[in-house]
Amino acid sequence: MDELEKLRQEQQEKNDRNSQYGQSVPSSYFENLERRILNQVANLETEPIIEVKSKRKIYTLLRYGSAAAALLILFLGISKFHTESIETPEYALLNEMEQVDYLLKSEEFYAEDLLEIDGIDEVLSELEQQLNNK
Amino acid sequence: MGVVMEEKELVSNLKNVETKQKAFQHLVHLYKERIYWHVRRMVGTHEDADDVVQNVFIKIFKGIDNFNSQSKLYTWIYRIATNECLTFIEKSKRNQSSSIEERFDAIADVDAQPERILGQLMSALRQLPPKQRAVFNMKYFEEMPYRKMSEIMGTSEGALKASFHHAKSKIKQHILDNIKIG
Repeated sequence: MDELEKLRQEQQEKNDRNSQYGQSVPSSYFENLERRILNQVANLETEPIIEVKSKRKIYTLLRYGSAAAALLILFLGISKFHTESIETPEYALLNEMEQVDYLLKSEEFYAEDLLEIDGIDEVLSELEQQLNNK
Repeated sequence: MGVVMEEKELVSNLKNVETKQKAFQHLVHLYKERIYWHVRRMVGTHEDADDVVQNVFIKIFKGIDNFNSQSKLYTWIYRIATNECLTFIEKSKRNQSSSIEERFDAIADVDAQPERILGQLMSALRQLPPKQRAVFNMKYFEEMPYRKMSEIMGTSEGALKASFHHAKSKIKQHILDNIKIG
């Protein structure tokens, strides 16, 4: 079976499941979902939250340190998104700003959110390099 | 956990290391279906909703210590779910060849009559910008008061009313156009 056929079949299976779960989802699915969520959470506690060294630094910084530094990182991040999103720069910028606004205002702000923003890895690397050079 | 737990007690147990797992189990049990449908209407497909819902609950688990009880627990959970959906939609736009709009169309393309009617609505929903879609879902499907929506979305009630009005107009127009074509 060639790759294209395999992909087509996978998509078909997804569509079938979607039709099957059109507007009514069996209770067995929700039981299964609950089980999966609880399993993931049970494994979470043994997993490191942040793997990369530089990320850990930023995490610590954000958790215990300077809000200004966090804002700087966010600002750098926004500039980066703006230049990368050539197709719809205004929309992308608006969206990222809304995300940042959300993160800063919301009571559930935590560093993992920040680390999930696309492109933040490069921003953190650049920042760390600059800090190391000083 | 058969006994219904008061919200205050639930939050307190969620913040206590010794009772956290059990309390979280209770929370998932309570909210999984409502959150699933909220997410499902936002992202369109069962597959995507399944992924997003899991992420939502993991974020709740990780972030519960930061919940300061200024809002209701459910409002806080809803806010995380809504934001997770918006992030997912934006990422989908950037990363996937099959856009979320195409997947909404696939859902609309079904034969059974009740499904077809809902499919039309889903197809209309996909025309809306993500935030307008979220507002419409909360108001139309969940009959949520504007005050509560305002807490979740961090937007004024006036802006939400305007957003809902625009969403309704667009959906109406989309359905009328489809009838004309059909």
